[in-house]
Amino acid sequence: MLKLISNKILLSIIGVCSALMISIGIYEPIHIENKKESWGEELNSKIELIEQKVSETLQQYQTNILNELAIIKSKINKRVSNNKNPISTDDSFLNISTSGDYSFVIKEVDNKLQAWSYNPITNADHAIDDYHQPGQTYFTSSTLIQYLAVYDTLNTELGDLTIVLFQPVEKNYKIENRFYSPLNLSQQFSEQFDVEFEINYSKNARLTRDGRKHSIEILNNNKNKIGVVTFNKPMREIALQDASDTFEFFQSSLAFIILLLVGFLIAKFINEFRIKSIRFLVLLIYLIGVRYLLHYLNFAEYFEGWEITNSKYFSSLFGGGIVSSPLDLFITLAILSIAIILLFKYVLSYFKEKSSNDNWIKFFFIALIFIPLYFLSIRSLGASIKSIVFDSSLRYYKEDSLFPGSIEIFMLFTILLLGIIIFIGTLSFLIILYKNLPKRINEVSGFFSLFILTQVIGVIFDIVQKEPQTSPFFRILFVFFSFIALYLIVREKRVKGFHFFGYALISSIMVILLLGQFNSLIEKESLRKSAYNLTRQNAELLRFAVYETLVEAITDRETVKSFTSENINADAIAFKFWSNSVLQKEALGSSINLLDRDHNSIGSFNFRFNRDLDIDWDRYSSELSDLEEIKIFEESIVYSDNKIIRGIATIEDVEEVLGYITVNVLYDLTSLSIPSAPEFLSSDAGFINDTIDFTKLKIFDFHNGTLINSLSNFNLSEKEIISILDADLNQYGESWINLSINDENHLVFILKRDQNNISRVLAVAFKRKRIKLGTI
Amino acid sequence: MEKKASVKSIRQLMDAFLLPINYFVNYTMRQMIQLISKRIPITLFLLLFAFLLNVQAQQNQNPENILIQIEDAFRLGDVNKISDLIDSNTHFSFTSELTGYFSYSQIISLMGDYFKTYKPLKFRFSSRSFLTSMPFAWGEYVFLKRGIRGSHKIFISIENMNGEYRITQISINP
Repeated sequence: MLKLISNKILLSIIGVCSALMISIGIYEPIHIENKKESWGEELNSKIELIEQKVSETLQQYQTNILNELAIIKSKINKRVSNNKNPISTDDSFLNISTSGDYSFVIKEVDNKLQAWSYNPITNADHAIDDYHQPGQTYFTSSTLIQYLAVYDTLNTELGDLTIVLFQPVEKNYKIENRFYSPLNLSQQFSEQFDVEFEINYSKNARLTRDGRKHSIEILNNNKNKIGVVTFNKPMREIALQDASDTFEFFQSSLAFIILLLVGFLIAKFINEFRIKSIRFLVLLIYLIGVRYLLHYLNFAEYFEGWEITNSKYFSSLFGGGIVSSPLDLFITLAILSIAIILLFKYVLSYFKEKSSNDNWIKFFFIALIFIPLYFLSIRSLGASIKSIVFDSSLRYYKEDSLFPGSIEIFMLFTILLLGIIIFIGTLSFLIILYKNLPKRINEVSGFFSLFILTQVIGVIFDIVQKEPQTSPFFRILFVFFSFIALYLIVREKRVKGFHFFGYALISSIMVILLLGQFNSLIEKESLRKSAYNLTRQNAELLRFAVYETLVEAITDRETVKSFTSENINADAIAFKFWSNSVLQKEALGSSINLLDRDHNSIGSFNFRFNRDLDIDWDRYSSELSDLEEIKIFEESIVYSDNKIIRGIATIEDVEEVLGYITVNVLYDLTSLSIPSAPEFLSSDAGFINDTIDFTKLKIFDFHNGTLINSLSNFNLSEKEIISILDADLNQYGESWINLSINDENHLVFILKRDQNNISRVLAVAFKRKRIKLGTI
Repeated sequence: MEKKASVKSIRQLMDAFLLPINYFVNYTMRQMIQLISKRIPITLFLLLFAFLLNVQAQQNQNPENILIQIEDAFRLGDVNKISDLIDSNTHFSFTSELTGYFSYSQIISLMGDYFKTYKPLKFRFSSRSFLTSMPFAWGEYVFLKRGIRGSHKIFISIENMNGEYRITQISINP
């Protein structure tokens, strides 16, 4: 193919691309300057565009809800015409509203609730806004969710019925777990237009007077104001940056095309070189250049938001960032695979050459280079797989699912690619070694001598290393397989297609063995993480959580307003604060209480918190009378090593104290995070161990030398307790021991910490196991 | 007689082995003493400099300085400023997906990504405490994300481990 493209054509394209790059470089500052000058006009058109799009979206919401109302009304009329009770709760009634997330309630004339849909709303009694006429859309809130609503009346044999239909548009709460689905119209607009949005869902809301912002009224289907959307005006700097990024993208793309074309030229040029090793070295340098150029051009940034660019799934600092995400790793390996295929091609061509070596010294020097390269490649395979396992949050053997997720499949494919690259690379080194065996040696004895020499050097290589990355079994097997591959090449004097299939198969076995080896290591490491996680809580973090929750509460306008309302839903307000706080994120045992001005509880929310630990704040009335700021204090729990951190703050408007909000957090040193809580409320951050099933761990918690809690079906004997308490600890208070619990060998991690004036020893044990063949 | 002869030969062997070493050590020591005695002022200066460096290093290990170092990292959005204070025992907490113990490389990358996405505008610890075994501080991190201004509450705790401070917890709360 290369021969078909003449140098002239290649040079012409390179010339055109270079000219384009330079032109873009010259034009960019002119364009940016023009943009700066015409920013006023552009800003107006941008604001107009945002206004138009926002209005269209809100209009669409209203059209949809009105259509839905018409459908429900027709369905109910149909039931009436079929002589069915329009509001009897049979199956067909419950299926009245099926589209979207709509909820509805049906009321009688006296506002008595008669029927409601699957998704009920919490304050249905106050759902009708009399300010608006039937058939007009308006916003209503249930403290936790903001709805777009509409109601209408229907004359039936049962009398006049009122149907109220709701569509949620914004959640005022947030749960940090996989069950929560966000719903936030303001945020949706912010992400769509890259400017900050705020929506006030009140018909009394005012337009902003802030010159940096722009407001538009939300009008309902009767052109009445039902709310106000306010957004920050687009910033000139961001617009200029966007323009600059676009130019940069085109220049980067052109630079990449030029580099590819230069690669074609190099490939053509190096064919003139007689020495293959120089050819390979030139191409290798070129490929390294391509990789670093892609890194410099921030190529992976164009895939931002994709799972394959998420550092959580893999990130290594190796090579200055060329493997800092799954995508970066794949790109690096894809380029490396080109280099290895070229190497293999050159080595095979060298192997077929008729020249032969009869010089021991030459063989000695070649062995001095390629045998270390061979074992260093095996070591690098081990180190890479170790990094892929340890520098990742993916747990390859945790789930026994037949079809892993897309990111797992991508990573497994990348791992296989890595295995094939290393196997073909090491095979190439072996071919060079074999080719240079002095001819005076018989072919068969030469082959076996090389095999034994390699195995022996492998042993020495492992001995001299401080931390070998592979097991002796793996090394012996790898050498064995690579010599089988060498044998097939020697026998057939060429490589056939099925050989590559064999290489892939061998590589997959090799990488699975390594994955198993490092998975066992990470399981062991996870015992340490579990112990650290269980002892992570500290009073300072809890005080911070209490303080931040109280600050959020007293600065929230809606909360202050709700204290003056007759229909205050204090339980919902408490939940709202809890859900948006560090308490929820850290899955802390806590409670939030709202008190009226006489210190009586008017609503609360508890999570993993015993209500008996709540206190009667009326006892503190004298202290609360002059409470001016947030007050936080600690209280010990009788007959327990735990304590409670309590905080209280005043909710007040400009004139008077409206009430109080209190936050209680349990500083829990005894429960081992066992108290259960509904999964849909629990934060994923509360997981103690993401590698091993938590229930398979055995945990023993000693306070001042006494076992106070355990998570195990077996009791420890005196001897086992002594083994744990007397274990030799390192400078970090850690120790690893092997312990037989119930006649089963366990690996135990011991951590000693001083917490809350208690000398705490935590032992986390896991039954030793062998890797299951089924998993492979 | 035979025994005496064998002892003598062992002694000779040992002398042959040890004498050159002895000579080398003596020679080196003499040279060093000569060198130091000729350059006493320079030697004293170097010793003083090393002492001051050590004092400086010890001062840097104060929790106050460590927290200032962390504050600088967040203020400038530069993860390299705290890379020596992070290890795989540092608990990192941001969103529910990005919470837990990560490897050193991962935390550095996650923090780097964080600073890249949420460009710092202002950061200062509003509260700090050095009196506990685990000094801590918290503050508000004001950022700009694609032109949108926002803030996160940052909580940091540090711990002295074997004479060296390291970050035990980085909690970023939206």
